[in-house]
Amino acid sequence: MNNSENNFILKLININLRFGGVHAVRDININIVNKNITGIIGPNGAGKTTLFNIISGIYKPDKGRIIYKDQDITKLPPHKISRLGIARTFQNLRLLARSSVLDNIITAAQNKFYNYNFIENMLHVGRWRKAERELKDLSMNYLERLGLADRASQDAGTLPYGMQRRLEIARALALKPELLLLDEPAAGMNTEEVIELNELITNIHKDFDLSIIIIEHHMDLIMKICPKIYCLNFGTEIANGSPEDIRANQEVLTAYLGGKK
Amino acid sequence: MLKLSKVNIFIIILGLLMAYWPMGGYQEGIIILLCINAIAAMGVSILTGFTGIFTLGHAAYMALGAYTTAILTVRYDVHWLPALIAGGIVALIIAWLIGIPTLKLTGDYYAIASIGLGEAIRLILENWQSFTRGSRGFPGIDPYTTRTIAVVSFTILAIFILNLLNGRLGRELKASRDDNIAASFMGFNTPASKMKALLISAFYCGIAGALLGGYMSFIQPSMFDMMKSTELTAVVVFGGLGSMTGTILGSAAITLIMEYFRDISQYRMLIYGLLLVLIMVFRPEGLLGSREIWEIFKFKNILKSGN
Repeated sequence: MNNSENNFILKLININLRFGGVHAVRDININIVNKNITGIIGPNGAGKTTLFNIISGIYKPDKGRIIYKDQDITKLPPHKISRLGIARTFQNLRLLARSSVLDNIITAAQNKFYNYNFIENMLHVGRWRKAERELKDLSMNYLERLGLADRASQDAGTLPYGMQRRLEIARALALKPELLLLDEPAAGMNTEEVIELNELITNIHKDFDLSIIIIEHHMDLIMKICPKIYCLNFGTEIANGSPEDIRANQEVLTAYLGGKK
Repeated sequence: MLKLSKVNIFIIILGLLMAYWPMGGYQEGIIILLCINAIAAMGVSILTGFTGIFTLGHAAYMALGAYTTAILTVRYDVHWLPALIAGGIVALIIAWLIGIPTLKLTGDYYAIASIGLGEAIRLILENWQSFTRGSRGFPGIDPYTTRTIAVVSFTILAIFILNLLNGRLGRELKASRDDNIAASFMGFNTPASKMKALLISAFYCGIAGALLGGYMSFIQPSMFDMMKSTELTAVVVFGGLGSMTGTILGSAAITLIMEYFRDISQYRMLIYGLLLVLIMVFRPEGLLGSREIWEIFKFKNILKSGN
């Protein structure tokens, strides 16, 4: 029993959130297995992104607790949650559009790697030079890993859409997370790009030794890479299990395709 | 080991030129004004250009610096250098007190609050007669702001702020300017980032005010009214939001143009307004946009090698 408890990197216990009359998230209990890819699916308005916003600290749940690696993070602000090792991407990209691609990564990486203080920053002495150089090298590595190295000096806002999505993933990885939340990474991508993304996520998962939660509408993507899937509808969990279970689940089919009742 | 970057060396050479180029008293006065205006503009630039917080009340921090230094040197016989730094620090402390409640405001709301607070500080200085001599002004300040002092202050402060922006702090501020939510997910405590920018900017404006007092030998509250605040922010917009070298250039340009039209002083504001309208029409992003001057030259080199 104890062993399996420790196997969960994130536990959502009885999460509830209301926006006025809308019960956006209702009694959600989800345990995320460590080093696993977990999928969350559901029709529009099912509360998937809201759930991410709760985990990452933008919204505070009305009821319930979030336990990350035996620590209660329910009341922590977003920057503290980020520093504990939870990184996320956004459904509507949130890059620093006016900074270069490289600077986007360096900005993310600087909190985790190489520190220097205000005086060293002001006078460019001490650890500044070495830290800045190593930060740059390290960030270039992330860019190379995601195939963006040749775009390093370009402004992030001028990248093509697919690359901006990859840059967001690179930036999240530069935070050196243990848990990565991907919010509809395939949104707006064509079939080919989705296949590429599929490989990318699998590789990242392997290489960086991460736990990943992924929200997605592309069923083929999620069915392929997630051993465990949760399905939400109107803020409540209606099913969970392996891809086969989900595919066969009557309630899931009803939620997506509508039912007679 | 202190190793100077190219930018630092350039600024030091510029400073040496400004400090030792032989010139008459009138030109010296212009150099001093250039330095003082540039220091204040750099202060506003880090807040407005790099952190995205529009302020219309920063003349108040200049006033705080000016009055602190004036009162310390005249009434308490403090040497001008510690008094100057004290001026910056008093401005910084007041900014911290003001920042705690007001930095929770975003966008236009902060600008409105800053107008109110700026005017409030000016009115306090005007009505606290026993301490500041009120609107009669504060005369008899030692003319400690010589050309050398002004240029050295400018050189040091310019190097400090350019170094700060080229490093952790610069990226932190830009992140919270461009996307507050993304910045907090990159592990930045965004309210604290904004506070850092406000404190630095208040310190710079305080020093600028203190230098202005030492140059004019006389200060009065009406020198630091809303017009002055607006001018500071206008200079930053003129030079380019998010470009420190643009701010310095813009401040120099506006100071020189205003000086050139001193003979027709009634119409100066007309020209000033025209200048701002022209830049908004032809270069809405400001003189240098959001790039530093060396980035623009680098870009041109890339274009050349491409051909």
